[in-house]
Amino acid sequence: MTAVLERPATRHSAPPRPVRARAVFAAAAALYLALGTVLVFGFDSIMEDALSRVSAASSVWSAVDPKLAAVGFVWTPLPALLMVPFTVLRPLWPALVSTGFAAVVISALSMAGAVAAVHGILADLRVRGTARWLVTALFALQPLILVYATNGMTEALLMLCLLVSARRLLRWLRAGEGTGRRAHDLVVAGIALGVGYLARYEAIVAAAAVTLLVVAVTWWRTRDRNAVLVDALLAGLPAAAAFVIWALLSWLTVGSPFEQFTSAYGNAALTGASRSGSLGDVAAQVLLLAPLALPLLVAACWRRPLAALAPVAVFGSVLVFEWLLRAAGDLFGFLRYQIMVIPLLAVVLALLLAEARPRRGLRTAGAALLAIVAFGGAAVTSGLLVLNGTTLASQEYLRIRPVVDSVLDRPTIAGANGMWAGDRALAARIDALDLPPGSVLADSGSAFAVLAASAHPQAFLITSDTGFDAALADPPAHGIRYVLRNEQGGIDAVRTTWPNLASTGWAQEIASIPAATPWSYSWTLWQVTPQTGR
Amino acid sequence: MSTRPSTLALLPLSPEVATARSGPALGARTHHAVHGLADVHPRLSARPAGRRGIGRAGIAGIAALLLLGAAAVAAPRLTAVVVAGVLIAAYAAATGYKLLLVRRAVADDPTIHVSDDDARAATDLPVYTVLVPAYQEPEVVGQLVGALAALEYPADRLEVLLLLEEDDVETRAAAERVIPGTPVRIVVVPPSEPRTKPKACNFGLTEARGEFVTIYDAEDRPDPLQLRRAVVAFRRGGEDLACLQARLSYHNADQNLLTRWFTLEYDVWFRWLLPGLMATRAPIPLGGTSNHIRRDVLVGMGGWDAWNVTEDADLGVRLARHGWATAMLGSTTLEEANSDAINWVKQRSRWYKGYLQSVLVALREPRELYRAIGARGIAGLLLFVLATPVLALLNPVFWFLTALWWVAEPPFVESLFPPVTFYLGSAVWIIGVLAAIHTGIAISRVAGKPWLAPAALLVPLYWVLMSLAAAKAVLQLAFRPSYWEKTTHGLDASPSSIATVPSGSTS
Repeated sequence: MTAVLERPATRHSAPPRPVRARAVFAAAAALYLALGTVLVFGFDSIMEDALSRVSAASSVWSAVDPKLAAVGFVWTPLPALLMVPFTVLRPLWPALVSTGFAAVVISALSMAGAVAAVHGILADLRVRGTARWLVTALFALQPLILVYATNGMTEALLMLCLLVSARRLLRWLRAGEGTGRRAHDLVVAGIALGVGYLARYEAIVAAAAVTLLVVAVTWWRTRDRNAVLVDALLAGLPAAAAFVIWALLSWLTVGSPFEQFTSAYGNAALTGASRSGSLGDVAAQVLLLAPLALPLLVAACWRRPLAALAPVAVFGSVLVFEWLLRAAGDLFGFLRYQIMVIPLLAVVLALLLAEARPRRGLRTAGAALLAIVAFGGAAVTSGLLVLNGTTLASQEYLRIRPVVDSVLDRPTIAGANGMWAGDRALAARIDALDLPPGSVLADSGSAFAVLAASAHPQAFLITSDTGFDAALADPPAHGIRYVLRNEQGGIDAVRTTWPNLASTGWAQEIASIPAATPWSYSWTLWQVTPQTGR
Repeated sequence: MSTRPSTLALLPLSPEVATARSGPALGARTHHAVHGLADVHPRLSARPAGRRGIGRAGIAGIAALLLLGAAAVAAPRLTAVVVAGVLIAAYAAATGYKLLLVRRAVADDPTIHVSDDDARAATDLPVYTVLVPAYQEPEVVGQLVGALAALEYPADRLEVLLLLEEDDVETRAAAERVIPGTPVRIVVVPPSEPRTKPKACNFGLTEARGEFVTIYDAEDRPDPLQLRRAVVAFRRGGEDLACLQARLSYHNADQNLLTRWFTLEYDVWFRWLLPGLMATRAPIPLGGTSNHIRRDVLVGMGGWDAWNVTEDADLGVRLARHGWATAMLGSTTLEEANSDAINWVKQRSRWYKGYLQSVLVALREPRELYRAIGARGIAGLLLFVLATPVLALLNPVFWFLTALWWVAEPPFVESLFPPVTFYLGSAVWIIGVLAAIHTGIAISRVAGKPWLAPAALLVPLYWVLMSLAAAKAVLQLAFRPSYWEKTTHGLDASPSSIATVPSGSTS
């Protein structure tokens, strides 16, 4: 339009070219979506929590009582909310929901975003060409990154938020003080942590740690209490607001602000039921995921003490939090709780390779070598862990080992892939009964796979539906014609309320569906017999 | 949208009339100041149509209202649900648009910065006209002289026209006492309706000689290098650059909570929202003072609309419609923030009324407007200039409905908001409040005033005042469209702050 408007803007630090960031994102997304498609449609491999979220997201539209609250309050809502638009396609493409592929789309895109963020951090720190591409590619191809990009879990979304936050925090730390010029970096870092909390609870720990760091740095820089207050608010307020608002919504909707800790489906209840692993296992997991993370972190702290605090605050805090929970026995010993050591390693590497002046010859080769040793070594050890870690990497082992064995055409273990076959058979059986809306009582906390596979999800009366509690207490009086009871594998309100359905006099078992795999759920289906005189 | 810059066909003004101080020529000069634009281009002016009746756009508006009324009678519930849905969508769009503007401004700030050295090194400085309209403010005329003395601009090329109303005896007397020996010239504006600032400015403009024209209020404290920066920025800019808007901020931010809010609001406005508009190429509603305009273009645009109570915003739109670019200038003028709530509501109601006037004037020729400023420009006009007063007016309705729901849960409230409207409305409400608070906190740091952050936490209370002002504005638009709500100045009463020198382009 005008010459004035097209004047090149003066910039203090040129960000990486958006075209390049988009290309990195697109390449990673294409890779992850392709692998995820093979895993889901080729091997029926989907994690339990992923399928559960897709099912909940679909219930927003497809339940007999459709409402947004169906996404549930045990987890923070963002992952399921992001899936809601995809689940609209369920009538056209039922497999999108029944297989859990909608969750894979979210995890693949999130992880691709995380890869682009790593590339952006490297570019911000002026890491030179070869080393930058090597670190980006090796990060993107880390075995655990590949697994969590393609299995529909929320690790990828949390990692994306934490990486975006770390990137902006690094910019803020490096920009120095000067009329708050980089305040907007702090704004984005804070918002990323707030969004991160809506993806996973752990982000609140990172938000607290980042806020503390910001308070310390601003006080050190300015000695101005007002400036400290502002910067603390910029970094911490979004996460604090997300925390309060989510608790408030939960309290208003289901009567309890922290379902994760109080409900029967939360981690607190689940870990109470099964404790496994030890801190020794945690150390082994971290060492195998990123053997050089600790020495390189020490080196980065030595060379760039201020900047190195960013990854420590963002990723270190989350890791330490998981370790503390583990030590207290309040967390499973899953490998995925240590996954943040990988982005930590990426950022630490970026800091070590950062150089203002151009590198030449041996130093370039040295940088590339460091990247290959650090990330290549980690890829080998964590790859071995995933393929052989029957206890240290149980969730991944049970899903990836069979796939790798199958590709290599060799005998394999009885893994967890295909574990929802029984649930789907049950859904088909109930569909065949051609029941009216709200006539099958089912706890969506355990029956999510059945609900996801059903062609008529409105036939079910599920936990989030109005009237579920009343129907659970007295099914025959509330138009319930069938009751679905989980016998093994899940936390189930029906089983808890009616341990002896047979003795009630109004229910008759008409089917028993055994577990398809050792990790699958088993079910019984009960017909409610009409009561005379009730 | 690219429109080649153009000027309006206007009636010529003879030199005798332009400088007339008495006789029939003075009458002609006054008439020119009041009706110069409206007589030749009535569709560009907010002058009441009088007996000429209403235009096509007015008929369309009335027809729409009648249709809505008929719908409300025929299907009251459905109409209410649709209206609520449309309003929620408007809230969402306006909130999203403002956040987008902030993002654009932060990512790629188009504000033109001229360093102190570059400003001082400028040679061949042109004659610069500074218009200072004042009415019944004898107490601030002294400040004007101080601020002008601080301006670093050669006195022989500085033309300051102090525009005073003939019947404003006190201010004239005060001015006569202080101006001898300064480049200030008093221009006495003969009494005539409407009594508006743009009329006085138009009157002064006829005898201005400067290549560029700017307006300061009498109590303003412009950055001393502002005129030089503007000259350099104009020289750096393109041929179509007709106007530069300097940043406005307040020197009495600390006076009370209201001035803190007002300062935060202004800093967001001039550092983020207006630069964001500029980056998205939407028309810029100019701020009341410190807009620097090429005099040839200003005259070619017919000057200010004497009938519009935010003649500045209107001029910004008119410039954009005729293909002229406006840019932000990295230079700050400090003003006095309104520290009294009643006075604040008066001032804000005038602004809101003027915004409505400006948008209504622009919408008279929707097709021509679209050709001139394109969809983006119209989006900016509607979501920024129109939405600001309209949504402020509607806020209390939704607050009331929310409160009613919490207290009594009447079913009709629930039936007004089907799920989509409800979820969108809740999300916009939560995100809007949080974003407003966060924006205030962030701007306090960016503008180097972190002590204002606690006020940002309370900013939703500020909206109550805005709603009062919006209600007053709409009532006045209907009954006294060109009545000028005078803002009382000199309420800050902080002698120490007078010494404050505003910042230049460094921040």
